Amino acid sequence: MIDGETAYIDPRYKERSFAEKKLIELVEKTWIYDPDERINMFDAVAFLKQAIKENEMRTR
Amino acid sequence: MINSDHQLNDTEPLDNPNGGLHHRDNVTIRSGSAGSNGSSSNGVNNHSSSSPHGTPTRSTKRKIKKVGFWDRVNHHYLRRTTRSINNSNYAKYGKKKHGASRHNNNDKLQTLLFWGVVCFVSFVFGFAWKHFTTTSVGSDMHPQLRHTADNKVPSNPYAKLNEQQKQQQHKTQHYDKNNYKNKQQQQANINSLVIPRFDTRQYMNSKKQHPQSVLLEGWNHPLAFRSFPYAKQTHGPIIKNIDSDYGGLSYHSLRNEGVFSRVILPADSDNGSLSDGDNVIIGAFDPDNIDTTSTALKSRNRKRKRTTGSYPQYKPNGTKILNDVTNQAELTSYYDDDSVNILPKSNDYKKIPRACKKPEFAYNYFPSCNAFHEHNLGRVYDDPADIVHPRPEHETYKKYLAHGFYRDVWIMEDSPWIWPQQYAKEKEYIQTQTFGVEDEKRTNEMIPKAYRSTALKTFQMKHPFSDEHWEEVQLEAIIMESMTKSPRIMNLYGHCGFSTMVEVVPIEFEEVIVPGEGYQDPDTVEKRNKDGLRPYNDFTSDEKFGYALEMAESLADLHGYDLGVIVHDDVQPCQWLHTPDRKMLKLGDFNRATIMQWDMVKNEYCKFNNGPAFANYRAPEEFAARNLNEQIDTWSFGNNIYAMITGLWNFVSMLFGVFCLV
Repeated sequence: MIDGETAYIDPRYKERSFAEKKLIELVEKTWIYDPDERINMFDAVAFLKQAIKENEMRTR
Repeated sequence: MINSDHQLNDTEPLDNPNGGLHHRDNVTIRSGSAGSNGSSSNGVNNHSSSSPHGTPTRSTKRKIKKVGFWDRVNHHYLRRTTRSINNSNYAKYGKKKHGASRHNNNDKLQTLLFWGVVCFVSFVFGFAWKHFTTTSVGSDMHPQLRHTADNKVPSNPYAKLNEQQKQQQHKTQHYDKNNYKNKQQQQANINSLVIPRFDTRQYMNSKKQHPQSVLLEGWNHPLAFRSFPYAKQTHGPIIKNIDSDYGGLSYHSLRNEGVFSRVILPADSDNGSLSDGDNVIIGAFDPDNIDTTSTALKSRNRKRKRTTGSYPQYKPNGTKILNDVTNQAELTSYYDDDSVNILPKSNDYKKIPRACKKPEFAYNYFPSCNAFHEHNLGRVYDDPADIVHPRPEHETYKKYLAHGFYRDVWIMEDSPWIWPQQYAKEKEYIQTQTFGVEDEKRTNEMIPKAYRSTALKTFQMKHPFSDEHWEEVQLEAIIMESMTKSPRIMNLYGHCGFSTMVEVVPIEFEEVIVPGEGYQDPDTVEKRNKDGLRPYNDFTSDEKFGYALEMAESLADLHGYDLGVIVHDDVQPCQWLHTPDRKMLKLGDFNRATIMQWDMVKNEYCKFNNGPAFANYRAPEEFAARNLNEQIDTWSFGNNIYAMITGLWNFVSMLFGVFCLV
């Protein structure tokens, strides 16, 4: 991480389900090195709520 | 006899009020003198018969009588020397009488030997006397050393018992009704209803699994035993300021604003009068005119201190009212009256001064020690289900649960007798459930109790009871108390000193997210995922969504608190726990948390600095020891989601530092 690496996420998780795809998107947003560019917690909540809504729409 | 004494008293002057005592002294003196006379007269006779010193008549008598032991000793060991002396002086003095000189030396030797033997014998007898007198129980012994009931001297509770005593203790601890030797004994035991006293020695010496807790051996306070029956010493004695009245530690609160009222006197005030409006206040903070030079910053507090009368806690003669305050740094924090922390550089490391001030809610500190007194920690906890077999003595009202690095956690149970049927129902229902945690049995036990109990977090005594640690506990209490409005955060029921009393949130969540160790070789992970992805945990994708949202909400509640941003600073999966109905995740453990300060110059939050920190879940700016803000929590939250997706820790192969500090 000091060398600018982040943890490896298997790309197949993105195709596994919609939820996991969205969550990995969120993880990538939280793992931005510059804290000012990083997503803040309120946006994360909004993002998750939106994603859950979409997920419900899909399953119906 | 008595009459004569009275007469004596009349003749004397009446300056002594206690005439009777005086009399008795007189009498004893008289009688004593009479006795001594008599004994001396006897002693003379004895002396004449035995002692080596004396008139020539006596010595001749003895010589005639027989050759004694001493003569023989002399003859064998010292005769040669005396003879040689005599022979060498023969020419000078002529032939001396051999016998006389020999007898003089003999007398000296005999006295020496005699007194030596007397000393030795008296030494031996003295020891014997002392031994036999002290081992028997005397009536004049110190009352605290005696057991009042059966008048026995209790053995030292700290000393290691020998095997016999251990066996006896073992018998008394685990006696069973069926193990009685005969019926008589049983009957006798029933008739004499003996309620055994809680004996801490049993815990000191039993092979119980102790929590990594507390030391007591050097700490003789009895209340310590009452509070920590499972306690075991893990290091040497602690020397503390123990307030014997309260059984606690006495410190002065740094945040006590009642005592240290923020009264700042003007420079020109002579008689200690207060400043009114327009006067310049020494040391008062003016955000528009900060002296940015480093010397000015350094001398800011010093300047105020030097000015006489600027501190109400100093007496006019210059002596401190607070005797406890010896540390200079502490003094500075006391007298930093406006509590503005001026730093020479800005958040971005530019040469613009910062003036950071804590938000007001950081001072809303309400310790509630009475809440602790409501709990009877010594009471035996009786489970209605176990009514037939009453619980052993040591299972008291509280029960040890777990420990972190700093603190032990105990569950304090409400009496189930208030709700026996409900309790039984819940217990039956819970036993059918599984939670996927490591210790299913414990969670099964805890859940029916959870709503009616509190968790007590006590500070381990192996850590120093210092101001810093206390402030951490205080800070946690302040944060938890102000966050009671958030349902996502654990509630605080009481706080006093170093301990806090919080909600019981019984179901572990970390073990569900990351079952097992959580570290694997990348190769084994790839092998596992060869035929499709198989994460290590059993979440459905929707569950992952839900839990991620709950975690995010609890953190957002912290960051978005109206009165000031709170940073958790220790975000890991283990900080979240499930409520007993499994409907909600709750965030706890704020012992690393910080309340962010407000920069009065730029009107933004002051970033804080924790120094370099290394762990997998930490944000990169923490590794670089940069100034931090609440975004570090966001990074760690991302780690949590990663763990939830894969069932492994991030940086899978590195076994490096994920700990929960309770």
